[in-house]
Amino acid sequence: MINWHSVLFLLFSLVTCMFAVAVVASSNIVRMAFYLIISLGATAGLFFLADAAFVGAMQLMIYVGGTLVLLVFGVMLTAQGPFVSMRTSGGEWVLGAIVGGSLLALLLQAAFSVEDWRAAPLPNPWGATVAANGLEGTVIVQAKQPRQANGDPWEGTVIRFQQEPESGKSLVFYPEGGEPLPTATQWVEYLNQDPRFSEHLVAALPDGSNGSAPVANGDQVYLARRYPRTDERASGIGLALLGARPDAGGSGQGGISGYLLPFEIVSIHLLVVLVGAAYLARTKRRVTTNGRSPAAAIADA
Amino acid sequence: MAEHLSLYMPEWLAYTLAALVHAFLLINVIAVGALFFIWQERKVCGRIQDRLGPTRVGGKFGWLQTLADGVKLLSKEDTMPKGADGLLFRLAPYISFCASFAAFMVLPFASGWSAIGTTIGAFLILALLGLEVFGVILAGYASGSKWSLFGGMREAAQVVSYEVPLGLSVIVPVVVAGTMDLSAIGDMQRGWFTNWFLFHDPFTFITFWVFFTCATASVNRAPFDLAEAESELVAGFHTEYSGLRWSFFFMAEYGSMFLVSGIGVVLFLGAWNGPIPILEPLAYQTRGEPFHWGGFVANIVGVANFILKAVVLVTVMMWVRWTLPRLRIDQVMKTCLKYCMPIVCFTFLGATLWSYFVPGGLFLPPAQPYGAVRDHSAEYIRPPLAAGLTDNAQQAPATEPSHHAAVQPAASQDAVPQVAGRLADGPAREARP
Repeated sequence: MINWHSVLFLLFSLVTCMFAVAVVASSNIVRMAFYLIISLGATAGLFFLADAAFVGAMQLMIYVGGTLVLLVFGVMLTAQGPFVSMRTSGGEWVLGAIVGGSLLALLLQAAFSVEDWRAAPLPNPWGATVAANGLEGTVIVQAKQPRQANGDPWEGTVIRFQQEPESGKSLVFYPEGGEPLPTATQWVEYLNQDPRFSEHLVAALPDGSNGSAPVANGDQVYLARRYPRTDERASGIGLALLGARPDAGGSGQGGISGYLLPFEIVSIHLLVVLVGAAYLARTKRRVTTNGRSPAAAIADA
Repeated sequence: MAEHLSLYMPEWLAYTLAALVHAFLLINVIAVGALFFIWQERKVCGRIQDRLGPTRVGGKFGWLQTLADGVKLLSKEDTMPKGADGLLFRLAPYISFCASFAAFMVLPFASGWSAIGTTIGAFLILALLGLEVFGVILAGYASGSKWSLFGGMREAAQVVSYEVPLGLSVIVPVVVAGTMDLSAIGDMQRGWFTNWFLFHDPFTFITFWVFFTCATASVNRAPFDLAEAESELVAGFHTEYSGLRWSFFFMAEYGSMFLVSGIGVVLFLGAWNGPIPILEPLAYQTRGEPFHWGGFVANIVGVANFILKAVVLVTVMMWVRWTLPRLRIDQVMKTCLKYCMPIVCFTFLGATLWSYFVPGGLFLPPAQPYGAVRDHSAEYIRPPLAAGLTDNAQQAPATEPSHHAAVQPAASQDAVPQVAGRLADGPAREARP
């Protein structure tokens, strides 16, 4: 069993972080830009993984395809010689560490002060609850089985009823506080009318059983609902990035319930990167080329 | 596809298999496409220059010539200049190729047949295509050679400029269609060829030519191939490359030629729909069915249609290449900023006004997207979950039955009308096997 979601999340987040570190550690400007491309590209991958395809495409279009091309272009136009590498003085390291460290502390604080993202409200309100409640005998909820209807993939759950040998009772569905429903058709109708289930349930069908006869051993019911649309899933996270938390049901504490602050801080971080790149590209005195002295390099240029 | 496979196997395996199959098919589209297009380019070039082109390898027409060249390239030494930046020099061809390959994942080859069916296809494909320039820039920089550096800088300037009119000209059909879903845009143009967006109104007609010009420029083809101008820069950004790495640049180039032609076909030239709706009845039968031979056959013919149209566009690119002389860099910029930009801004405005005041095509009213299939707008308006009930359903309801029973009647009254509506169409649709 591989949970691809986790695997890909780990992969993308690792790539993002590693190459972000590589940007800082490298001393060659164009390589830095290249590492930044990979880091930002992997961030776009994280967005795709969160089903926010539009944000991911924006990330690719604006930061990777737009800003970084300009950045590389600018570096190539202004560089004093091939393969410019920079030497950083101790003071700059200290200053950089202070600024970067405080930014990191701010980000961490902002990120961890936010409530965790809960599972979306869409998942299965009817799965195990229906099955376990009010039924005599064992209910086996089989694996989710997608089917297709009207061109849409529908996600469904097959529930198969198996009589326990020792009980000997027929299978009857007892709705809470209601009359027992002996036939499959009846309780399929019930499922369709109960708002807990019908909200996302498109159809519940007797599957391979005679609908009007009492439910027998081995009967199956197919509960179908539409897959949550990509847009619906994305809009939740999109709203969270703007500060609202649809998943928390409006119970967010105080003003910082969404991800607005971390999101904005990250975008400021990108601005800082741009300013830094411009500064590095136009600086003349600190540049050495291939180990030669600065004076020789400038004289060459 | 993953959904269908997961009927028969665990989900993680189904998704892995589906991903592998899609990747395998697309790699083959690019590789075989490049083999064919290189051969075709030689024949076209030969014809235009009044000679024969390859004639011997593989019997008639020299159709195996590219394969022979491929074997030759494989056996060549992989050289790298001493002054090069090794890491970037080695990686650059793969960046180009990967960007071109990634963009193919969004391209639909027939109704719904794309590796990734996303609702923002038109936007995503442009974003991915824009990444290809990195390969060229980095190759130019990392080679440590003046010719390469000049090539890379020209490419950067050119691509950054041409991305603007290219993006705007893609927006025009998106405005007309009202969606960025490439598959839906293709479905809208079904029916007679007058439904193609090319003939939708005068503005889309003009836009197509601007799109084609900008697409040619953005994939770095003559007369816009300043990055490799062999009369001035030896071979431009790939001067220092040899063997397999060099051929990766070539595959990327021919891959993106086919790709931009495919985008043009989907957006303007009716996508996979033929000029005459012969197979329309077959395609209609697929609606509401998980799998239908009629729809399958219609889609296969659609793929053939699509590839044929795209190959025609690629051939036009070759024809242009061997006909027109290369532009100077100032002429390239002039074409972009003085001609393409104003024209496409004008057509964008015109197409917007046209779709507002004259909703419909020039000849026939445009076909709507298949309503049952892709119109999800109704789903967005959805009554909120009855208050309190969600929590009860999620937390073990057996522990507090009284509370549950008390809340339920009130909520079910709310929900009855829409449940009735769903009962009316939901089970009826699903129950017919």
